[in-house]
Order: sequence, then structure tokens, then C-alpha cells
Amino acid sequence: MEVNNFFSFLANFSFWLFLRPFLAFYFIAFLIFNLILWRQINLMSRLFKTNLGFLLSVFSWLLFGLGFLGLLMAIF
Amino acid sequence: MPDLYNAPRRQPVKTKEIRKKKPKTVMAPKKKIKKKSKFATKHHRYQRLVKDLSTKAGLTVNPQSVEFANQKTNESVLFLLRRHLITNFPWVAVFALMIGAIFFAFHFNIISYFPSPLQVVVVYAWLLLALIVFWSGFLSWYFNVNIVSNERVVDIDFYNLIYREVTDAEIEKIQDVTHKMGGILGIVFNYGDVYIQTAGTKPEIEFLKVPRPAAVADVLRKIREEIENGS
Repeated sequence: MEVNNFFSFLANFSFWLFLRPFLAFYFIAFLIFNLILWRQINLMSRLFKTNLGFLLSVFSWLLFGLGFLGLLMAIF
Repeated sequence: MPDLYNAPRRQPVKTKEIRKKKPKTVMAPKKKIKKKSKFATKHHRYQRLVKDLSTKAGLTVNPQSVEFANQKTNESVLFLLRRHLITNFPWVAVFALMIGAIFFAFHFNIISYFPSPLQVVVVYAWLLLALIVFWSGFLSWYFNVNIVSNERVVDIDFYNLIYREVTDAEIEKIQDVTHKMGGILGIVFNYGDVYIQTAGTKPEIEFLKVPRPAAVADVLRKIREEIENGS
């Protein structure tokens, strides 16, 4: 029975099976990268400040939110 | 031994003639002379030199809302330099191509090769990748800044979004200023590098791919000359 299951798995095997975990991993990496960027923007804003500082922070959070939404889409 | 005779002291005779009053000299009212502070004169003098420059393509003259770390109270930014806008073309082109690829994929139905439940997620992931290309390109342009204030020259380098290097030198320590222009784009759009030799621990400060390098170098040279001529 188990052997049959294995063969049926092989018959249905497709590389697309890896797509969902890959996308989840991609969005997690995206979120981590965004966190690093957000921190870097904060540090750089202490070093050098203009009127655009607030916009940078907002855009950074927006990207973070979009990444989180993508992670949810990839998981569920 | 006590004195036998002490003559009385003669008091000075106060006569009317003697007590003639001196005519009062009428003093002119003192004018309040505003003493110009050293900062004001220094700032004003450098402002005059900066007049030759104009704000465009990555060069901002007299930016009002710029502050940087360790800025002194009397210190004001004369001009701020970033890479020339045209140097952003590569990442803008990549971003545009990535957005264009989505329309291409829909037009030629390439999306249908992906399993149907994940089609939307794949397109979404691709869009976010394009946004990250845009964002990282913009940030590396925005934070790579060169600041010339009335006190010093600051070079902030932002490498690969993760590393940064900040160099500054007092404007009095500028020894030599050279500029370099080259390449087709550099000549067409008038951008290049400015190298500032200083007497500090880091001997050279580089302004890379900045607009109008000759004018910038010229202004820095004039500021140095002003200092040498005994400011």
C-alpha cells in the first residue's frame, strides 16, 4: 500500500510542488530584508536628516505590510 | 616727642571765579553699531561664492531643511551633492522592465504555466521584487550624500544598503581640489568626480559622479583661497 502511495506520488510529482514553500521562504526573506532596511533608514536619518525622512519611514512600513500580506497569501 | 606747634592747615579758598563750571560738552548720542558675528561674515562670504551654482540634477544649493550629525549651531549647509540623476538610469530601467514583464506575461499568457491557485501570488511576488529594486536603488542614491557647509566637507557613502562610511574634514584643511570627467554620459550630462585632498587622517574625500564637477571644484578652490587670504 505504501509502495503504491510512493509511486502515485512519483507519478504526480511536479516541481511546482516546491513553489508554495519557495514563495513562503521568499516573503520571509523579503520581510527580513525590509526590517534591515528600516533599521538602516533610521540610523541614516540620524546621520543625515531632510524633510523626506517621514516619507521614507512610511514607504518602508508599506513595503513591510505588503510583504506580510504576501506571506499570508503564500501560506494559506 | 610731641610737636610744640602745629600750624593749622590752610583750607582752599573756594571763590566763585575758581568754581567756574566747565562748559558741558554735548555728546552726540552713541549709535548702536551692530557687530557682525564671525559666523555671519563667514557665512555671507561663502554664500557669495556659492552663487555661481544652481540647484539641479543632484546638486542642491542652500538646502533649508538639511541637518546632519555633529552639526554645530553656527554651521549652515552651503550645498549638498548627490550622484547625477542620470546615473539612476540602470535601476530605473530594470524596474521598468520588471513592470513591463508582467504585462508581457499576461499578454502572451505565460502566467497560465503556473498552477492556478498560485498565479496571483507569483505575480504579487514579482511586483514586490520590482519594488525592492526601486527602493534599494532610490535609497542608495538618496543616502549617498556629500555636504559642503561653511565649516567642513562631509562625505557620506552608503554601500549596498548595509555598509556605510562617513568622512568629514574641516574646510580649512582642504589642500587641493581636482575634478575628473569622462565617458560619453559624463560629457553629455556634465557629471564627474571631485577629489579633495585634505590634511586629515583620511587624505582624500571623493564626490563621485556629481553634477557640474568643474563648478563644484571651482567653488571649493575659491573657499580655500578665501581662507588662505586671511579670513
